[in-house]
Amino acid sequence: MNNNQYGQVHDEVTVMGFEVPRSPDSSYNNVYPGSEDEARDPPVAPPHLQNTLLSHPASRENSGSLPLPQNVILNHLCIENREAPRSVVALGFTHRFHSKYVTVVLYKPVPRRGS
Amino acid sequence: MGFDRNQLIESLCNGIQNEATVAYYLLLDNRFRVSSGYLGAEFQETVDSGLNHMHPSEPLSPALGHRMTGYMDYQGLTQLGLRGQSPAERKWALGLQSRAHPREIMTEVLKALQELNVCWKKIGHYNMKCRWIPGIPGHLEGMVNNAVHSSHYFGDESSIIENDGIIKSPNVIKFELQLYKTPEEKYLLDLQRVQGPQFVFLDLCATFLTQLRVL
Repeated sequence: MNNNQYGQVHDEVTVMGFEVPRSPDSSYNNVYPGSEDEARDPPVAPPHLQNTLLSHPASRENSGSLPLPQNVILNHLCIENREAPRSVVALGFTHRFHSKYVTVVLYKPVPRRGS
Repeated sequence: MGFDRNQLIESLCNGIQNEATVAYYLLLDNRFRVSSGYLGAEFQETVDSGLNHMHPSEPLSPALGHRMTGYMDYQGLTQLGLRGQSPAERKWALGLQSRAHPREIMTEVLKALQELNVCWKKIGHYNMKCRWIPGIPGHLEGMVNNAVHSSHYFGDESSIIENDGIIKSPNVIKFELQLYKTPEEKYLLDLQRVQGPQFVFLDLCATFLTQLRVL
């Protein structure tokens, strides 16, 4: 369980043949991609990644229910669009906790850059 | 919310601004999503300053940072002003977009990560897995100009356990980044958390965006 990179959840089950490969700290080698690495274009963006709950329109009745998020968008970072120069940045993502989904948002002031 | 109702009404009638009236207007705007009123004033202000920032005239930002900012400016403006949509319906977008060359994007991104002591390894085409441990000396606290940030946020690193020479910390953040190409001739940088506390990850992302000069 301690080696489960995806787990902070203790009810994760490992399936034979689908174990997460080990990722020792030493394997992070900080290599910059060479020219041969990136000769091709990056892969095309999957369209369903954009379906974040954060952009879900708010209903006037304040019913308090949202649709279930798709698995594919979980843990992907979203950024709120704001006018530049922004003084606050808002970042968020949805993750799963047991059978529930939690969306967390952080509002953080943007440090001012000196001239 | 604990405010005195009569006092609040009196403040509202007299146009006094205090915690109670601010709370009242924020709740009101949130409920009705109007483009006037408390938030409306902010809207007007940001549109005015936003228009000034559409023109590329920042000599100090590196090429990549400017291009990324340019895109986000445009998107913000079309949402707020030119399309006439309600400003309270702020939109969220996945990741970061840029029109720069993908190789340039990767170089700038990795450089920013390196400056923040984030380690990475390539796991696929334009796909990196990254790792970061908060609280390592000579690290983030020195980069971010914020003494409060370092003194109590990362707190107690005595929980770092040494195990066969490998330092383990319960706050280690692992995430993947993937660069995609979008249909509109742009590139999308997607960051996905793999491991680590949610807010530590988000805070790292905020610092990363600052380092990348896209904010």
